[in-house]
Amino acid sequence: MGLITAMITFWLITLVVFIMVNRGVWVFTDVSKSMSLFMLEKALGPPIDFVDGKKGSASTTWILQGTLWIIPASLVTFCGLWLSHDPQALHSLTAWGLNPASKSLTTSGILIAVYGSMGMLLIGSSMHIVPELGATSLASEKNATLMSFVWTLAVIVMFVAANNPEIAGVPVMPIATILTNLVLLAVIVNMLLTAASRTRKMPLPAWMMIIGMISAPISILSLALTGSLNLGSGQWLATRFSGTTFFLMVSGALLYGSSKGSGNPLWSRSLAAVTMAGAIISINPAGLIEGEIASDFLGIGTATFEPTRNDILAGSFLLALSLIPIIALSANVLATMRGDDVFMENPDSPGMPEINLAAFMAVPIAIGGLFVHTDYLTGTNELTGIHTSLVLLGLWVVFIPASLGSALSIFPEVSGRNMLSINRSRWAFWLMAGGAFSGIVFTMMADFSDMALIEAAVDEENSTANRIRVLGSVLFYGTVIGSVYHSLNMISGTFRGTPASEEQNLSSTSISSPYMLTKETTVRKILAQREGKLDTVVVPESSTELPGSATEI
Amino acid sequence: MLVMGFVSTIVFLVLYGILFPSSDLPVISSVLPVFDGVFDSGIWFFILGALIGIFAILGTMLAEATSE
Repeated sequence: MGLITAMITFWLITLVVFIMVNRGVWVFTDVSKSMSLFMLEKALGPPIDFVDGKKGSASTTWILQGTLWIIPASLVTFCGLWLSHDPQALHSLTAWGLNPASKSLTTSGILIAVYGSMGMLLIGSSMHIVPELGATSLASEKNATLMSFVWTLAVIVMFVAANNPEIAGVPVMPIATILTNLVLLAVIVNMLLTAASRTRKMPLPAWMMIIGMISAPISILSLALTGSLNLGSGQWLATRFSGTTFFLMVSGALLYGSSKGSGNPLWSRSLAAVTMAGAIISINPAGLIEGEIASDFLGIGTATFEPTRNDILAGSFLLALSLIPIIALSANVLATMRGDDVFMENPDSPGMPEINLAAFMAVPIAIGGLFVHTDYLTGTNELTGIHTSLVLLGLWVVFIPASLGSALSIFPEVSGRNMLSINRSRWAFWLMAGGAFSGIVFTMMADFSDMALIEAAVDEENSTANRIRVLGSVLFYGTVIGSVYHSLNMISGTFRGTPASEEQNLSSTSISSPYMLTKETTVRKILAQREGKLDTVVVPESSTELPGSATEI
Repeated sequence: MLVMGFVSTIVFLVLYGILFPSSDLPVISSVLPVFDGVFDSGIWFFILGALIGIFAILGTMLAEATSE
């Protein structure tokens, strides 16, 4: 079966599942609902009593662990970058039986960043976003909290597997796959039960997160049904599908985070729909280029990548098509944030700079990814030398900031307290963003230099590229420090941060327009609203014993 | 407590040296060679910095949780 057959199967199954979830068929009968809830909680026995079930605890636990995972992710990536110019730097670890190499460390750094940081932050955010948008509560806070620790265990296994694929003849990566899928199954059931109990029409960001999660098993099912899993093109597509999963979840989190953080309504629901439909229809250029990682995860043999002519045509077209949802997402997020003139009023709000950076960088990096993937798909392989750096750039400048920014913007609401220091949050942003961008761009420059020498068939060691790599790895260290700053700020905030309820403004105002302002505002903000004019009447919502009159602007 | 632990360790090491002269310490002797070659490369200074950060987080968590 070809690539397009697998894609059509994926579209059909996704469509059917979406309709079933939306219309309340199958898992949404009362019997199956109570059965699922029983499986999520009581069936687990005593372990479920170890965790707290109060509102917001699941989201807080996932977000905190996701933030903490950024530290090892950045540290391991830093070591991988360093070893690319100094392969013997960690040779003393051989005394412990470890033999770290640049490639294995970079791959494990990517896996920790994707599944440990990004995955946990996004799942944690979804546990707040889905119930919030459906005006309901999470079906099982206890199960969701407990599952976060199993997911963390799975990430640890993943790290071991990336550096030591077999222990005592047993492949390690499939164990991580089993663990992550068990957790994902529990989270999906939890989300479906939550969606089933919604009391109003759920906006698209929530659906994006749910469909994003469900698309992971659907994609593997589609490839298995069409018999593509044993083919090189099928394994390549499996890697691309993981990009679709995370892109959908990131989109939901970004759209919600940008709206929540800025206090503006979503700029365009049509663009949100384009993002969701486009992400499912197209092939996402995010992620590693080879299908080898998918075969490792599934525990099957790696097949040679030999796409047919039809595969190349369909793949190139669907890859190019992915720019539409990415541009739609970027435009929607940037316009939503600026609708309230947020950068004039509140430039330091934790999470907003990260969301801004991610939305800004998504398009250029996607275009870069498109070139590299098309180059690989067509068998030209002239740009594959930069693909690892490009994946790292996409990860540390788009996906991690997007998931972290969204999580930061909702964290006060789920934990009940704000970050300890806005100033530290700003420092953390600049360290992380500056370190990642400059460090990886320098590394990419060295990659280009190496590629040029390989093409010219020069055998000598490229000392210039090595010097640039030193600079790149040292600059990337800023990301490690930034992640420590973020973690410290978040942890201290949960204990000593100002209570989020204190921010609720009693003297909120509303302008005579469809827009409701929920907190105190300024003349600038009112004028920045599309319906705010010089003669807009501002009426205080709170009532007092004193005779009132219209507030003068 | 910290001083007591430090003094006990020294006393134990001295006693071990007297009782089992020229014998390697069990476990510790096999772990210590790990540090052969450490700081040969500048990467260790960066790793040390990250470890300080990680311990700062652990310390903050302990301090915050026990401050009341």
